[in-house]
Amino acid sequence: MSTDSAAGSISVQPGSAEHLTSLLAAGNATAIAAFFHGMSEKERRTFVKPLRAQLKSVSWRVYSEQSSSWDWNDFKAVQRRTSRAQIPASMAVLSTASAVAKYLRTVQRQSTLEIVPDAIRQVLADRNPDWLSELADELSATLSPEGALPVVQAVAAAAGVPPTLTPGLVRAWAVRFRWHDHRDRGKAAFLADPALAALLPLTFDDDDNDDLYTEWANFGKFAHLAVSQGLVPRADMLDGSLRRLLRGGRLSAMQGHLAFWTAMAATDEEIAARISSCISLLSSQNGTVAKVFLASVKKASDAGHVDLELALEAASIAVTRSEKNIVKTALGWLDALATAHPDRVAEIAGYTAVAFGAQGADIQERAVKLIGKRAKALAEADRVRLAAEGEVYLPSDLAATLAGLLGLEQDAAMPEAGYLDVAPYEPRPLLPPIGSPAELAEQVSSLMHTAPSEAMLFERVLEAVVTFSRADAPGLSEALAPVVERAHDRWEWSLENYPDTPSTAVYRLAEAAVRFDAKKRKPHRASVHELWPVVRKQKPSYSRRRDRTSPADFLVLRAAEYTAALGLPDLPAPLAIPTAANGSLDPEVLAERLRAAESEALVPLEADLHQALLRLPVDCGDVDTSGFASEAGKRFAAWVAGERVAFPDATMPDPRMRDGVRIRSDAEADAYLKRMERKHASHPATLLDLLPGVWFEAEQQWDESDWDICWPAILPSHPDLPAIALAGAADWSSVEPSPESALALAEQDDPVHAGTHYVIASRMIHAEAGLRASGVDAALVLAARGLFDGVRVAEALTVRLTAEPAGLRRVVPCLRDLANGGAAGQAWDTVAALLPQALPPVRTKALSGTAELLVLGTELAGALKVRTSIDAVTAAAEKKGGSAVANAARRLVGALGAG
Amino acid sequence: MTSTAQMYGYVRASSLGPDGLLDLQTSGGTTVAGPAAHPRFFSGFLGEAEPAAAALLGVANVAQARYWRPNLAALRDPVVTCNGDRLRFESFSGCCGVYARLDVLESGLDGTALDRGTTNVDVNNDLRLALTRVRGGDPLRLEVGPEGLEATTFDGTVVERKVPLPPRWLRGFAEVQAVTSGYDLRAELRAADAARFLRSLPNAPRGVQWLVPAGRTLRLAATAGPGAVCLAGPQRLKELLPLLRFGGALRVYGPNLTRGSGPVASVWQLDLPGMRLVLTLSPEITRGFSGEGAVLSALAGDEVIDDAETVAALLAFDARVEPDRLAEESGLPVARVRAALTQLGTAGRVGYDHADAAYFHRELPYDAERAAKQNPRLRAARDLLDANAVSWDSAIATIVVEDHVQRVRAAADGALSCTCQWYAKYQGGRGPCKHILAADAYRRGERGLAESADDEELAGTR
Repeated sequence: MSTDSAAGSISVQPGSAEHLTSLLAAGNATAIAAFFHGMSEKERRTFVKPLRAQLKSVSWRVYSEQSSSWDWNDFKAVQRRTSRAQIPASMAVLSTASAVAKYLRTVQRQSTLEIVPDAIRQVLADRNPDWLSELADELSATLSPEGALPVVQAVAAAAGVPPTLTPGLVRAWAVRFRWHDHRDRGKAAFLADPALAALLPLTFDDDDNDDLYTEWANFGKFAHLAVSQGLVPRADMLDGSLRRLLRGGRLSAMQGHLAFWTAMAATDEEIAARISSCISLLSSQNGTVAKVFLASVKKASDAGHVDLELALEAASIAVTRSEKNIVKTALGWLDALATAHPDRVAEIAGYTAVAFGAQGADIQERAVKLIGKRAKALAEADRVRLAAEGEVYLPSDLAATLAGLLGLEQDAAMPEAGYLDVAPYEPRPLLPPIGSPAELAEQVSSLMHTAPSEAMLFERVLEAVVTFSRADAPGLSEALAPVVERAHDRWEWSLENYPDTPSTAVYRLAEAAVRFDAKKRKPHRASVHELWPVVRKQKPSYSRRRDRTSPADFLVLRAAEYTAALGLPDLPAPLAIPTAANGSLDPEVLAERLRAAESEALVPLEADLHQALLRLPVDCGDVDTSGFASEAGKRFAAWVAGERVAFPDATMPDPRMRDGVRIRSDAEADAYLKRMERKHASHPATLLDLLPGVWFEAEQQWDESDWDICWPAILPSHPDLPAIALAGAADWSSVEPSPESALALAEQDDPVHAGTHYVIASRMIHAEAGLRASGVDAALVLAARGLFDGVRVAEALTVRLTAEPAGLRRVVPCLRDLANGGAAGQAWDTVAALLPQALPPVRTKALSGTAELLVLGTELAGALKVRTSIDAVTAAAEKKGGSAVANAARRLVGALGAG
Repeated sequence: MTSTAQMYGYVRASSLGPDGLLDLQTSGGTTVAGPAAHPRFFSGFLGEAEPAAAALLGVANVAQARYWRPNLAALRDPVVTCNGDRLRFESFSGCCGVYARLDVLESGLDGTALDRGTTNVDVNNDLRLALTRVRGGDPLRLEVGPEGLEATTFDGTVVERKVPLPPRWLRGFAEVQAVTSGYDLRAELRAADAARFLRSLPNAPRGVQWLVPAGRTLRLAATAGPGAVCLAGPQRLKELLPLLRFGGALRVYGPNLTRGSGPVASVWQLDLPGMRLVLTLSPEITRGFSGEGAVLSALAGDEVIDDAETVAALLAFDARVEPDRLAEESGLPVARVRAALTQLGTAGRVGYDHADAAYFHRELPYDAERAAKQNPRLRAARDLLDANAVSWDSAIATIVVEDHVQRVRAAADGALSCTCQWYAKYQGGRGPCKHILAADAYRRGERGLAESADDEELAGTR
């Protein structure tokens, strides 16, 4: 852009398209008005193309091509100049209001809207189009609000018609004040704005304006100031604010509007004048909104400004909410109304009874008490009706209490809580072998995307690769090729730079099967000692130090062993394929497999043999181990005879230490992690060398393919060791267990081990709902198998609660789910064993959530007809006062002594 | 396929006056007599005012909602169908993940059904505001459609609004019936239990949760399994919460699941006095119904399309579509009638009522059929056929896609599976992939354009 051009002094034919272009480029808005003066409509239309072309030419690409320097500020100046001239030019040229508005939206997108009001006025007065009166409204509807108002106002002034107060116009007016600081001149401008009174209340009618009332925007504060100074009618603002709250919306939006409403401090009279809307807000999806308006309506009612019918309606709505504090307030209000209006007691008791269905036991108790207080004033029919409602919604002891308070005999045939029996356990069927290379290709493909749904899937894939490669290597290659090729591009970089994970190890195995005849491939037997540096190889700058191992390394090494050996003419069939879905291997079957290998003179792979041995039961029975000549056979015989590896001590990690690592970084926590690290093998010679360490703070795989569902099947006869790894993680570098893994563990547990119970406890207390659910599921599996021991879970929970006392609140719903799932007896055992650990004297003060635990205990004791007292509960019940714990303890003592 | 637009034109804005008249205005649609500009369906009273208003508001809120990427506006009006004995208000969220329907049953209506058909109804901000203020148990006066106006003219249209209708929204709205029509009742909760359960649901904005019946309620489970129900994004059930105080049972419908199943859709039905509010949730909050592809195989066949036309001719906005009766009237076997109904579902021409376990006739006032036919996966499959990329060898089909191949395997039971990443990820849970569709079509004898052209050329030379 030349300076001459910018000054508009280049010589062009007056009235020509070039002339217009030069004026536009110069930003000479006044000259634009003169240019079109007296021009006919037909002539004007000829300038549409030059107009658009000039706008198009103002782009960074064109500017950077034409300019010697890439000066961004200069470019923005060019854009602003163009905008100034484009606005009147478009009004002079385009043929409809809609076309002008759309065109100016394009200009606005490109830069900003800078106006010269006189030029706009001159152009429009000169042309005086039919659509002039519509233009302001079109502009406010089409333009982005930021910067639109001056254009709209200029056009409206030119048309002599005030613009319609559309949401677009209101927003265009309001956004100008959004970011102004209190100390800024903006406040003064806002308060002095002549449109303030008309437009401010309308800002509530458009959800787009929610950002004006957020905590960080000062608009709301300015608005308050305007109301307090009497610049805007207060009633209009109150009504507007209510309208917005009634529409509801996102939490953050509601918070802002509620803060505005609260700051307005509506008087009782103002609330009464808007009582209908205020009562409607008691049903708001936002609990805080309901709470605020319940307080307001109640206050207005107490001051005598609200009719009784409306007060009852408000209280009856509030009592149905889920928020405890709201329901408590509503119950108190209903009680006060009953006192003030004894003639309406029956109706009020009906509203109070709605709280029987509340979640909190204390709310239910309060509702029972309040109704009991009015029993004498109730007619026989009302009392019967209320008692019947209690029987439906209340726990049996509270229903009995209610019936007693109402002076009624409780129905002897009243249904108990009705806990079902746990569904019988159906062992997971053994996954059948993979039938064809095509099916194998699909399974490999799925393993590259998601974790296996069960441990046997990985085993079946290994088995199938070996089987098909021995039978028809080209056919296997052809089947797997599409999968490998598609994954190759995606994984190439990771495979070169990152250590192997179960997922990449399966990929490498599939890749080896595809390239079975590649010249570079040299099939060989590789020991774990040789494989370890290969699978752990990582780029030097890889940010994570790998100081620990993981049970996933068992999977990685076994896949890597077959990857290396694939193509050997004497490749043996895998020995370690389990014979049960839980990963265990029948000694008879292993003996058979070893004999078959011997007969074919095949030597089993080392890691495969070791995994097979680890899958044998503790007691191998009377399996015949005589006559083995091979090393593998002899090792098997020795294993059966008792010559096994030493398993590490299965002591569950101290949750306080783990939390120490997670929450704080101090010497003690560091020492814990160092201690755990030392347990891990640094360079294992065999698969068995991994055993002592892998379970303790197992290290997470970089691609999160930890496949922890496979871990219990690594060591099926020692479930306590996988349990250590599946009970949680100290920090982000350890594996956070998956929900499914707890079920896999529970399916293989036995009466001897307690690890699954520890896992169940750690899951039930977990912050994530999915993991808590997995704890309940695992407990139900154990219960169905007759292995669940409530006392063991309570012991494990006690340890967990030492580290996380607030966790009891999360445990109680899990125990309720356990009971509802069919293990009510086991749930009671857990509750009974846990209660003394949550109450004094073990604790100086009852743990948070103890009241809920006591209530659950009451329900279970009532349903199961338990009559064994618990000393700590008795002591808590004997304490004076009406705390939630004491009340709940009394209920449980009552239930236990009901017999 | 580019986005189309819907022009709503109402003779006046819907309103709820101080006299208690809920005046719902209509725009476009179809009646028994044919297309109508402003059909008039009902005049009379509607159930109990407060629950009716709250439930209508719930439907309207879903129409305005986006539960995924909520900042984008979506303001499409609900659809109302008059089946003679009942009114059904339907809406579909902007994110294509939630379908809402309010069935106002015969017991909830007291008035005259003036016509049968489907149309859009205007639910504007003022009306929503008025609906929030309705209280009390008295019946609500209701008019659906403008009084005193010829239904077939556009005279007097004063409220106009144009909204975009993206193809995926159209497909999703239409397909939601087809996806869920095979679902069975999985749980039934009494009012108090339903209230406790819904209020205790953990907030999991993106995660999928599994629920299993446990006594009188539902409990969270770690994984899918037989009898489990999938709940993705519990916050999408929020429209049920204000209605809990009207004390109705909650029924949950879902498909038969096996252990380790992937996320699936779920249907939540809350009973109200004379009404039922149904919310259908997509399998994941980030997934709309449009991508579920449950009906792609059905769409691929020509026979089904012909059957669908035959069956459609026999429908007259029936509240319950009886396949046996249709089979008798059309002369088609019942199985083909069912397939035809599924096909009609994908075109938005029937809905599915789980409470009645039956389809109902309605004609969505959008061109959903075209959107269904333009399904990207189906188009891609046709492209594969056109490129002559499919070949079958015994039970394995090889599909050559650009520089690589995929293989489709036919299992002994006829089920098709594929080696592609889509299939690996969803395991068929979102319908067949384009390779399976192409292989299946090829197996049924369909050929691509290239081959067809060759055949024609060959025929010409003969």
